[in-house]
Amino acid sequence: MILQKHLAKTRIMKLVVVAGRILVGASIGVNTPLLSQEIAQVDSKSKKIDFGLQVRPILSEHCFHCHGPDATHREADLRLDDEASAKRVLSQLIDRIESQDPDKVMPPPSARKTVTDQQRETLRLWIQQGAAWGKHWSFEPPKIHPLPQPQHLKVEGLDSARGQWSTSAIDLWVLRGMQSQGLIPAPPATPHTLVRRLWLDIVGLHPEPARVERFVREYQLDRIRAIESMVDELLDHPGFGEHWARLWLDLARYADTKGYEKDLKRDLWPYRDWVIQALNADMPYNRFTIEQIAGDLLENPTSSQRIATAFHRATLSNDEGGTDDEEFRIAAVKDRVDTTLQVWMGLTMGCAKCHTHKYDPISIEDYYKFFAIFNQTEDADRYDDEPRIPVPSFEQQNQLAKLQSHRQQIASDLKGLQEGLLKRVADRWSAPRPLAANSESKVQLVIEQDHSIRAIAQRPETDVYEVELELSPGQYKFLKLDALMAKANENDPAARLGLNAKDPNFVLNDLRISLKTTSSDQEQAINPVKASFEQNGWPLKGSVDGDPKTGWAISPKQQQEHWGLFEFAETVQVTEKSILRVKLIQSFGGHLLLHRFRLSLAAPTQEALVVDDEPSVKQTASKLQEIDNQIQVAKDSIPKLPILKELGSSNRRTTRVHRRGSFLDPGDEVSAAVVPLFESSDSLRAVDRLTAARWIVDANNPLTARVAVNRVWAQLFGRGIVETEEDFGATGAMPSHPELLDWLAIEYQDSLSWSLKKLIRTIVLSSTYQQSFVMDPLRTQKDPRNVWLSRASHFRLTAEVIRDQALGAAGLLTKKQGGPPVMPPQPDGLWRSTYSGAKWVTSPGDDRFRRGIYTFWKRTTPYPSMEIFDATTREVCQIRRISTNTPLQALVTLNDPVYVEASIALATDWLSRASADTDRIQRGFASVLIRPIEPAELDRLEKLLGRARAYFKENPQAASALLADYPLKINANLDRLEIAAWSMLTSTMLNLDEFLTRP
Amino acid sequence: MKHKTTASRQVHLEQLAMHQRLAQETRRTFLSRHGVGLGAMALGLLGQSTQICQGLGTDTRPLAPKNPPNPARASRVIYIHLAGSPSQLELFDYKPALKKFDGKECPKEYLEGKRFAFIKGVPKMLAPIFSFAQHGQSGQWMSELLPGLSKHADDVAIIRSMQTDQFNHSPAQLLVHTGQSRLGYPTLGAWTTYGLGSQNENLPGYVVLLSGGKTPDAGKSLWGSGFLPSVYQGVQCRTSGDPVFYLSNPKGVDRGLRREVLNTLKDLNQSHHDRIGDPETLTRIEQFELAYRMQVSVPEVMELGSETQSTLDLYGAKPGYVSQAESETDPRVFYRGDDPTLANNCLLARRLVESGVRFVQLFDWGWDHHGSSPGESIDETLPIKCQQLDKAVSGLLTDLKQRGLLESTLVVLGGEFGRTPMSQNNVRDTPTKGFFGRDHHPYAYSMMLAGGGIHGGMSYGQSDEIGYYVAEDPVTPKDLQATILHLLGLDPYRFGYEYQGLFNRLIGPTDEGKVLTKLVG
Repeated sequence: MILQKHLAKTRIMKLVVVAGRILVGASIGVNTPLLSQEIAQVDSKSKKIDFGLQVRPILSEHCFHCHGPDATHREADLRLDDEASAKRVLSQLIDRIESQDPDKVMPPPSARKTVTDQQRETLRLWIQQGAAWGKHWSFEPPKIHPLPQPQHLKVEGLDSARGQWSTSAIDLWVLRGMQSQGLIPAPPATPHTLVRRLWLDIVGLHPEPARVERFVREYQLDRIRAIESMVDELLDHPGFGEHWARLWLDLARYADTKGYEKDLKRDLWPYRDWVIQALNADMPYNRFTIEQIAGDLLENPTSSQRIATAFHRATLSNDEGGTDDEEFRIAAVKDRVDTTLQVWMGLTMGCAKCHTHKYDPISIEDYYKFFAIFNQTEDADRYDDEPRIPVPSFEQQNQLAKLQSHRQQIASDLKGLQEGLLKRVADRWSAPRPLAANSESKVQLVIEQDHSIRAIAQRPETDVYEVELELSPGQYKFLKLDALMAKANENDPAARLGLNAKDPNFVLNDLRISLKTTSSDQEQAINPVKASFEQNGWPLKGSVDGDPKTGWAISPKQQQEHWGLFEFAETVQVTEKSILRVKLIQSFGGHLLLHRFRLSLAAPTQEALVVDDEPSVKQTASKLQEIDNQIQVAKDSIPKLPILKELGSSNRRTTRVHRRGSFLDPGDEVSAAVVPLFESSDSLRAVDRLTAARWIVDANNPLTARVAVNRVWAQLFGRGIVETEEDFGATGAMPSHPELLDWLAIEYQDSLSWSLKKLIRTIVLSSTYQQSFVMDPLRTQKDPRNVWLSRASHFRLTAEVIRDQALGAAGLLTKKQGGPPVMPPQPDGLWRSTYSGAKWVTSPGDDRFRRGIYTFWKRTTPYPSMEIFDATTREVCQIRRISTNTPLQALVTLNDPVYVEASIALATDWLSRASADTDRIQRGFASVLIRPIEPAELDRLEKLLGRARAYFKENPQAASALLADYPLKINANLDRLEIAAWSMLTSTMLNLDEFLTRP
Repeated sequence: MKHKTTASRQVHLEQLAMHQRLAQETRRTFLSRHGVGLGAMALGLLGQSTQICQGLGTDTRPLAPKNPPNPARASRVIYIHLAGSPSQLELFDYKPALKKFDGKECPKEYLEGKRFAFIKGVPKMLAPIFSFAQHGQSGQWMSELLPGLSKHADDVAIIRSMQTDQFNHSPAQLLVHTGQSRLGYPTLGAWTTYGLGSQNENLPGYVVLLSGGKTPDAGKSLWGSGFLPSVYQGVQCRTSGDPVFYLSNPKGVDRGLRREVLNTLKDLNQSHHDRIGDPETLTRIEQFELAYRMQVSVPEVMELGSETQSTLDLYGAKPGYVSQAESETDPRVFYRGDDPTLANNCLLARRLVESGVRFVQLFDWGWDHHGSSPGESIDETLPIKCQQLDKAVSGLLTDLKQRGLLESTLVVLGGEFGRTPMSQNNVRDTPTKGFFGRDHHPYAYSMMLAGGGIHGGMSYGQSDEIGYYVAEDPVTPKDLQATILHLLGLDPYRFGYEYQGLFNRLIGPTDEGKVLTKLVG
């Protein structure tokens, strides 16, 4: 990968910043998103009030509920979201807001809302300045704002050379924000902290100790180069895609089951692997978008592009008995609409399903027009999840090809064998020349040279053939009826089996046989032995049971010749010349009559009477059967991925508005259209999913790039520039750094060509990102939540990273990528889904130690330790995971076998590294926390070691019990008591707040 | 024996009180020590008075008990959900008129434009299979299947005019608990713990217990926290194995050694905090300590062995019983009238609310009596399930009453919808023994409530002559939710949470959920 090194050196100036006095202190995070007042404060000294950022939010908060876009609930026929009508009442606005008269004051007392002094001041100032109008800030296109000039940045107390502050755009805007609050940047993080932060943020993995050492060495020599090469290396690491896919899979509501009552398994994982690969290949975000929303509609889509569309097949489907499939199909389509607008444009559409949005300019018609775009795919909440495509892995393709070529070989062997034996088997039969052949219809039966009998085609729909054969003395046990092909006449293009040209099947309803000698004429009972083929429901035995409704037929194998083999109940002993009379009753109708046939007889014998009964043929045929089974198994094991497929032009659905959101209450018909939020080119007007996808990533779309960069920012700083990542609309939070957000959005689309890796690189190379964590009274008081980024942000790692980090530190983590989801150990008896026999079967071998992203995700019963760390159920799109801090989490990292196993593995690792206790602790500690140990910490851990040793020495059986369940490769030289004692230290390490927190 | 139990509970309660004082103390000291207390507290108060909490990021003590803004009639809830939905026509809603239509074809006007889960074509009406009588001062009609609950006729209120708009289990159950038939919304229990916190710091605030051998149809989402922080989601306590996930120490690690590790962890975390100053570290220390206390308090509260024999008999409970049904693919074959699993859970529910747990949610599976086999029929299975239910729930009401807890504990009982006055016809046209069944019916069904400010003996609303539609005072799941919040002292219209740009409330964006004022005595 070639990364543009456009950022670092040229723009770094030695702008020296004071570190500030770092005091030990603490603060409580107060949970309020940034309010518009705070923005107003920032700009209070600047000249111009910004309508979109400052005024509209006030109107939205207080007025739009009754005077907004929703016409059905509009009061006094007044709109304040529309420039023309708002301006008519502008003169009264302040009066009404300030009025003491409860009948006059706005908002009315019943609304329980009060306009603050600050907000009034903003409104007054805005009107004074001429009341410039505009859209909600995020619906205006991002602007290029002139960067704050370094010479205008006055940093107090420029007296310490502890750090440098770059003049990248990010750092200039952040510094300006800090200054507006009287804050100063924190000094840069130590190299140890920084390298751990980079690993956890970029690849979500525990850093490799050797790489850390090298980084720290290089950092001393050339800080900037060391950081850049570390960052580039991590961006190229295969773990990058696995880490960032987690975030995307939350948005895609990716899971391995379908949800609802039955919550059956669904093979969606090829899509998960697609995401990982796309991220690792740094697929540009616009392409990434188009392929997922409409990859199937691209010209000659590749299978990878079709796999991408599984994004929208991750919707729930309900297999509960008695559900209305249409109801859940519609629920899935609505989910696609909501998810699309939320993921890419930060718009919440929940309200517009039932009524026109009260805050954002999205009407219920707009919603259903957009819905109409997504309402044209084939899937329909079917049990089999169709349409699907098979997605064989490379190995599976190879295996299948091998099996098929093997099959071909055996099949040709078999054919050779059969042909070679044909004559030998035929010689065991005799086909006497028929003496006579008559039919009930009186239409002629022709006796051919080869002793077969051909029926003339022009005959009634049913008939009975009767044939007389002369038997010479001997014993007869078997009778064979060969059904043969024939041409009806010379002009007939091809020979056929039955007389009905459209369906050349035959039905032999009854076969009657009698033996006529000079002295007697006796009916002979016969039993069916076998047939070349029996049609379902029409077996050979139907032709001898005397029931005229049953019979033998051979559909769908009308294109080949057949035979039926019978045996006489009692061996026919012929001592004098006798006549065997055979009656073939064919009463089904529809001309399903034999065309040509032959009757043969055989004596009692142990030898095979048909080629397929010859032992060598049987053996080869069973080989063929076996390989066919293998092929079937191989085919069944190929996952079939649900994908989007557009309906053909003949069965398009019409879309109507669902009144009050109910599909049972259809309103007016609507045609497909994108939401009219910005001017887009004509080519995007006639819409299907492909044009909708292009509209989303259109250069004129004001939201997509902002939403995307904000999401990445939030991953790296713990909070977005717009805190409500899920809502960029009127009710969402305001951006803390609007100019920076615009800069990032424009940069991402233009200079960085939608490259996620370059965007991350740009951000992590900023001084803002590389600050240290500082909590002093200044920051605690002025900015407890670190909105202004005057220090690093600490936040708890995500569920997956906590797991991967622990396994990584213990050396257990498997590097294997992709493939079906795995089942690491979880408590017994957890899966008890109604009406589903699905079971959790712990994966064998190293699959227990795969990265968290590969853990089987069952929607109704998520993997408990991840859920406890705030992973979601993935039932619907989840933009943000809200981080909690609970005792249940403590129980996971203390007692979950995954972490116990990791602590034991880590203990054996520490024990094998050095021989002195102190040395072991020092090295081990540094390898886990990626920093040198403090003397007090060493003392404390030595104390624990002493106590743990004493405990296990006294209770050796406790050590055995602790280690018993873990099949680790424990070095025979290691003392089990020691391992147990040290595992208490390593478990402590894995539970430290510092270890669980992103530094 | 009894004496000892009481004494040990007393000690336990004192310990709890001490922990709570200590916790508050720490919080106060902590706030003043760092000089940000006032601002933060003011904001906290502001949050409470408007009943809006952003709740983003991490609260230091999200489960600390909070006083409700309005006077509360109930301070805790036991919600017993009979998953699958029992027939109201055999339990609570007596329809003698249905007898004269028995076996007759259902009139067309009832079927036009209707969607049923399994009924096809024109089904036949089915008379109530069991007899009813009036009970208590109030003359409450109750089925012969509920002899124990009949004795509580004057304690319970029965709503006979429930109606819903969902007729499949999973969405209907979601509607009952989250106010929405789609996945992804917080449940009543989550809203309650979010609004009121928990009264016992050593136990989860919202506990879920399952019986009947299977998880209810909609799964864990029925006790999920939706968009509320996950700390408010229900904690499923299990009756075999660890009651809470990973509660037990690894084998070989005793409580003393665990304490050693935690002491070390505490010291190292504290010194980390002293160096760095992240307040979240202090919360983490506290959570580890709480986990340590839970390792004792949870098994203790989940242990029925300390109850007297007479209490056990009252419920029909059997300590340590593990239902065989839980190990089989189809538990229905194991149904026995004396199966104590539900009884055990009812007794646990009392122990939990007594210990200060805010919301106890019980799900009992196996009430979906379509009549497609004797194992899921109204004539054979329902009486067995009712034996389990009647003993357990009447025992619970008696016990709560004796202990003076019923007044402040709201008990709710019911399914997710009702069952049709018609016989289900997709298996056989005319039912025979073991094949009497009714299909899902959203248009009229019954719920039972008791305690916590409910008007005992009340009959609320009515269905029509044959129990098809609601005839009087219709009640939706949203009304019931509004009423429950109201009883807990939370204003259903103002209590909510800002998420995705919307002020989200349990009762949804419209004000259609009404508090049933007649019902709340």
